[in-house]
Amino acid sequence: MIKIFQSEFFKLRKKLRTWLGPLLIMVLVLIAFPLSIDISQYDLNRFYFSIIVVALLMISFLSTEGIFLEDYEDGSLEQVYLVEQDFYKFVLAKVLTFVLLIGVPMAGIGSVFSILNGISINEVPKIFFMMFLSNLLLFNLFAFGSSLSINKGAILGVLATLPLALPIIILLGRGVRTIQHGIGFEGVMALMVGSGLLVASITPLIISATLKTHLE
Amino acid sequence: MSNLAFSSFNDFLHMDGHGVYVWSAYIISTFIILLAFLTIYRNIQLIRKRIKDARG
Amino acid sequence: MFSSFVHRFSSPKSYVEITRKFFPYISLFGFLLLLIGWIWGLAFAPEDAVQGNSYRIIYLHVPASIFAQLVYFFMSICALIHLVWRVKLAAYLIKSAALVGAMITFIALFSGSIWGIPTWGTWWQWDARITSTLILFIMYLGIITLHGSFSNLEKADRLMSILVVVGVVNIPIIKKSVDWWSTLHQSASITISDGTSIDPSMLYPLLISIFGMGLTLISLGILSSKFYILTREKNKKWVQSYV
Repeated sequence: MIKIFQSEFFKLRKKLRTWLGPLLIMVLVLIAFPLSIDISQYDLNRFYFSIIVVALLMISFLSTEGIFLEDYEDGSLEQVYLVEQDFYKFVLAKVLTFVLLIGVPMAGIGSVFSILNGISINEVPKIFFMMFLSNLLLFNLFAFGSSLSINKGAILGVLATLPLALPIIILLGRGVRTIQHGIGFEGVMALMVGSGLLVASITPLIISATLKTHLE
Repeated sequence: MSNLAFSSFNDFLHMDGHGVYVWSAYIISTFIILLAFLTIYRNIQLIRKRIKDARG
Repeated sequence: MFSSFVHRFSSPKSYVEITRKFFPYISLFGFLLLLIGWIWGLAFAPEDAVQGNSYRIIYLHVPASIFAQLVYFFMSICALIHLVWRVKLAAYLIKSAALVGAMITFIALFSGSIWGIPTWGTWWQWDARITSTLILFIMYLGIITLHGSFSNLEKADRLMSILVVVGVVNIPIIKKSVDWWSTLHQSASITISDGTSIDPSMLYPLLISIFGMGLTLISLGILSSKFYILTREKNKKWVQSYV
């Protein structure tokens, strides 16, 4: 398991475009948004978070779009299938790698930008952890989406799973609000940790079923 | 179902100013459902014809 | 005996034959009930004390919203059957039900927003129920486009079934979370709070139009599935002799 994880990690690290590109886009979006409105007139603090949240959604959507494409085309998926007869470990390692290399920096960027917009330094770990967990959920969901349509029309499968991501966005928005108001944070956090663990352990099973369908 | 809710046919169409909404909702929805029936029915005829032609 | 029955009915051939026998009755009965329900509701049911006559859209809107969800529920049962027993007919039914579902969900959204103009003063409100119906509509479209994007249709069937099953697990979560989210909005929206307190003179036509709408949609689904089965199995022998 650790071996698969390591090899996946190195493979992804070498593909700069896949993991650095989305992060740059995210930074750009978060800088571009304040520039596009009249700051003297609007109270940016009140809705800047929604931009961060939507940016998280869109960037995780973008970055997972081709998560299985290369493995499918160069035949490593078939190899894994021949050896293991199952994709559970492979998918788990793959998704966790993506979360570590893209999701964690994304959560970092998001929390840095939230400092710039009036969140006190003490609250930053909370924000970071919350964004990390929602990234975990989003990456699992979108990995499922891209496994539906590995090579066909690229983003189509991810689009089909986009409505399912809305509860995560609502949960994250709710969590951010509890931090801003200072009450009810633990409840939301517990819900996120629980659903994160559940989803991260079950989704590889489903993705494994879809990948098998593609190979049959 | 004993008595009508409206005194005249004009009242029935007008519905105290809400007639526009009520009638447009019903008419357009009925139109959509009928259109769906007709398109599917026509498509069935077409595919039948195609299969027959292919059979020779 | 049960399994042999399932096996026999699950062949597309006997499905088409059986539904052809019942189709005239179902469609005629459905149209009639819908007509009775709507005429009763539009012309005879008393005026609502709060909303006036605009409430009469209820006889269109409520049946549509109910079946928007029931059709998805039906699809998810078919998806399970397809995934577990690999029954082909189930996949055909999902594909054709998705079209009907998308249509009726659109009607629910459309009639709801028209109803919103006189009652709320706006045609769109970010209310929990409206939002989750919109999400449902997008899910139907996603399922249809996903199935349409594969040239290998067996593969498309299986992937679509997986998506439908994952979606049905998510529907209660979406509803719950959207409810949770919209409690943040302070603006109160008028909803038909509880169906049981509705007056019988308004309830009977509503029930009749719900049944009528259901039967109408079933007959539309039968036609749509027949078209799809003929398209998919056009090279089979039974189709050649059937047409």
